[in-house]
Amino acid sequence: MKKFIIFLLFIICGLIVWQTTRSPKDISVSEENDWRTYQKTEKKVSSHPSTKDELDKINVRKKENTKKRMPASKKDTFNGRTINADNPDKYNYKTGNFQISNKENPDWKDTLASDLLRFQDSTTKILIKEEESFVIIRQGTGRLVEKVVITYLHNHGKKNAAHALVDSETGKIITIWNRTRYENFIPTKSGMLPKGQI
Amino acid sequence: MKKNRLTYIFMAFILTSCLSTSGGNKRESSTSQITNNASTVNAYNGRVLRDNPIILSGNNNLSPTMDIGTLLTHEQDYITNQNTLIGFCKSIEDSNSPCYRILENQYSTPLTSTDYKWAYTAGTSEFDQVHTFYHVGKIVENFQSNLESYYNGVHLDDFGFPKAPPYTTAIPSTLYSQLGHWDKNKTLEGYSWAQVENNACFSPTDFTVHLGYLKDYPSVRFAHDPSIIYHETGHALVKVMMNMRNTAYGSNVAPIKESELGYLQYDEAGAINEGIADFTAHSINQRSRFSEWILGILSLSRPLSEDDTLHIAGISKDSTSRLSYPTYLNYEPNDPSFVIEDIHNAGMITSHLLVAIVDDLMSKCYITDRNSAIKLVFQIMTETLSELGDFTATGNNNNDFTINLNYNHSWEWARISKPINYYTFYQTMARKLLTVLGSNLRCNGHNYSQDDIERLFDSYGLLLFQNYNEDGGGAITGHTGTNTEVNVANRLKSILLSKDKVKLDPSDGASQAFIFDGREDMRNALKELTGSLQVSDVSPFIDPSLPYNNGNGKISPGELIGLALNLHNDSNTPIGGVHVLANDWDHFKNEKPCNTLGDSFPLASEGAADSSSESNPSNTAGDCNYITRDNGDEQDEELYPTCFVEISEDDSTKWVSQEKLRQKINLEQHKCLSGDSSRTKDCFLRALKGADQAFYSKIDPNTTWASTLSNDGEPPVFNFSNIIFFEVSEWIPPGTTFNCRFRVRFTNCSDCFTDTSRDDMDDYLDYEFSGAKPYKLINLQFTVID
Repeated sequence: MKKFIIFLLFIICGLIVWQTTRSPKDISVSEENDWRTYQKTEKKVSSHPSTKDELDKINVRKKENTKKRMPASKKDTFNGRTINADNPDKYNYKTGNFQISNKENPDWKDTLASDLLRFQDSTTKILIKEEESFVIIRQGTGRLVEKVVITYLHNHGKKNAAHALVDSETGKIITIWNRTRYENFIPTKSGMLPKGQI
Repeated sequence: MKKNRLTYIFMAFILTSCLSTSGGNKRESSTSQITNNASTVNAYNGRVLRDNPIILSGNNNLSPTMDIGTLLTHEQDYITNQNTLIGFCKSIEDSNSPCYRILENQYSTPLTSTDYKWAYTAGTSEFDQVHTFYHVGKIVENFQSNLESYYNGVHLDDFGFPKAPPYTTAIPSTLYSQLGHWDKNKTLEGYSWAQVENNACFSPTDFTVHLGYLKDYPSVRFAHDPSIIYHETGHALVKVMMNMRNTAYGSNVAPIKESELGYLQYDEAGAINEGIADFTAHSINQRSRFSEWILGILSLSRPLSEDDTLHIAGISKDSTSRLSYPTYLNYEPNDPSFVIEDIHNAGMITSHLLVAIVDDLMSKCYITDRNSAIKLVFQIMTETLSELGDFTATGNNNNDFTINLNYNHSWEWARISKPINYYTFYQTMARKLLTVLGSNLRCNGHNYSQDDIERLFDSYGLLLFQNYNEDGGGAITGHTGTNTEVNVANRLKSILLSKDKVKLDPSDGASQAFIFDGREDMRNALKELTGSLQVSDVSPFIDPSLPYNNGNGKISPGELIGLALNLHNDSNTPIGGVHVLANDWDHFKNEKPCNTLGDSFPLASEGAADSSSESNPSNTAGDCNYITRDNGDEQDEELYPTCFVEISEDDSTKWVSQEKLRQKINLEQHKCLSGDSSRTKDCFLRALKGADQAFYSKIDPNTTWASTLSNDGEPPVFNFSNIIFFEVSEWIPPGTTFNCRFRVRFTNCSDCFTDTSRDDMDDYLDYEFSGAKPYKLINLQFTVID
């Protein structure tokens, strides 16, 4: 009995130590599922759920489930997608009465990744995170798009990231913004030289 | 005996009590280095380098390997009352999502202190994090308290109730309720030892600042120089300011995309961003030089004021000798004989002017506390950036004012059609200075007059505008307001030139353009352009190995090429901010090129669109003399690619659209460069979006850009922002001739932003930048060979 109590105490202590020292790098399952890594292998692009190491490299941290202060306004949605409309007074999107010019394709991310990796070598990885799904309504017509974060992890350790709007059907990038801004304090004296002239 | 023993004991007690008790268990060394650990500080405190090692030591020749611990003093620095390095802002007080947080790098766990003491041995990772936290906190807290104070003055009465602003303001009343004061409640994370060699970066995607280290001295961290911390955090503040109106819109109409200040490797928006970031450092340390330590080791420190000794002789605070635009755009004070095109160097004009505005406000408004004047400049800058970055296209609370064309196209306007440059930024800043401080004794009980503003701006060569454009750029209201006109007597140094002064090099035998088609070069360029996300839409017919690229310096079917116009300045004055556009624009009618746009090309007999029955200007959509109001989205209006093509027809040659050529040779639609059957306008020759514009910092008088940037007679190297990249279809019949109608403008241009055909010399309306009027048209013809 005495040995059992000692053993039980040992287990309890161990659990307490593990809980309190658990690395914040641990990512919840749902957070992990948001990120996917793509990489070229020979002539195809393979993908896998982003590993902890990969997520560390691009600074994905565990987000605690706490009440975060949110902006005062709440946005309307359509089939789970946030509505973004250009002229809500003229085109009453709240009735849902608008045409949608494309449809959702479950493979849009794979198409996007293949496009992004086309001109990179096999050591470069891309991580794609879905941030928000939208239906963008312009002049009464809607388009399903995804707002994503794209991060290139280059073999020399450099990472380049940006936000992008992607067509939910074709996986094509519509716009890119918020590109990483490196100082490059030491100005480069190299560049391109022309091969010819007109 | 017993008495003596007691005496000795007593004396020993007295003597030992005189020993120093600081430094914990260790006596101080003879060099007086402080032992910086928990036992030497109170709770919530630590010690940091309060400035960079050069300043603290007073030694300009300090070795990079010196021990920074010797620079600590006994004094303690308040760090935080939290047990981890997090800081809060107004309405952002959740410890799990704080306003800012510092870590060692993106892989590390947060530093925690169970005893709430923050003293660590200098040079350790813990010390660096605490030190970085202290300095980031300074900037963020200064910015937030200044912003709140300004907001309250504009939007709240003495009792804290909303009131009508006393003047036109770009600061939205919903700024705090929609969390527009801090990037939608994102946490700014700073990394005190990021794995970036000889570099630092700001990542707007995740709102992070990365401070690297010196390659040759890895123990020297960029964080050890607070100027660098302030500079990088300054970029974060720019992002916040640019997006205040976008964020504060807070509804289903709020823009999804965010504003940026700078898109290319070199452009004027980027240079302004760098200048503001340098000024951010000055706002804390108020010195005339940026980064004496880190950049000093690299011999790249930058001055912030003309009286800094780093400047060459001839530069001074005298109004005739300021660091002026565009003369000093390529100036490198550490090596004045070297000509460089870099946003940090070009940004010095901005940093110097911002410092000069501080000086001028102190003088003209009798402000004795420099901090107060700096705060005013930050308030003006916030107004300026908030308006210019507005993607809702409203700009400010004047209902008649619009900017960036309209909501649907604001991003494209800011990217290429009317990006921020030295003209737009300083015109807006001048207007804000006049509005906020120019009346009602709002400048410390005085008025900062229009003449004060204009004389100062002119001394920097930046009195580039004819009026203050209070009525904005809207199609309906853009010419209906009353604009304050610039006093021409104040324009002594800012020389404005007609757009006709820029042209292709007219010298005998000179090239019209340079061609880049080397396979390795272009593969690397494509890899870099896509890998940095500057370009994302590349034709499916461009093979990554670029098999068609033959490096013969000519344009062949199937190639990916670069083109750089050989531009010449045909005047006796330098021109700055030369911008070449190759995006789609409004210059066609019914698949035929218009010849009413100023270049008189092509002739009617050569296929020009028939505009004989049109009025000029026309109000009929689709006419050559009508410019699209909605970037081609309205009925009967379309934008066309810059390049069109010559075909043979009825025993003559005609200039037609690329679609016409496709029809003529019966090429299937899906074989067009887009790979999309519905997109055939740019079937054969297409500018890569993202690389469809080129920027040239400056062209000296009566010479070319290439000569201006030449060092020691060597040809200049072209960086990506100097080159426009084109995809060339493999299906082009060899021998086909193309004409690319480029639009060109420059910043100190008298008629690129001002409509000189108007008596009131008002600015062009935003929609006019879809057409030809604000630009010099340069036609470049070439034949695609086999």
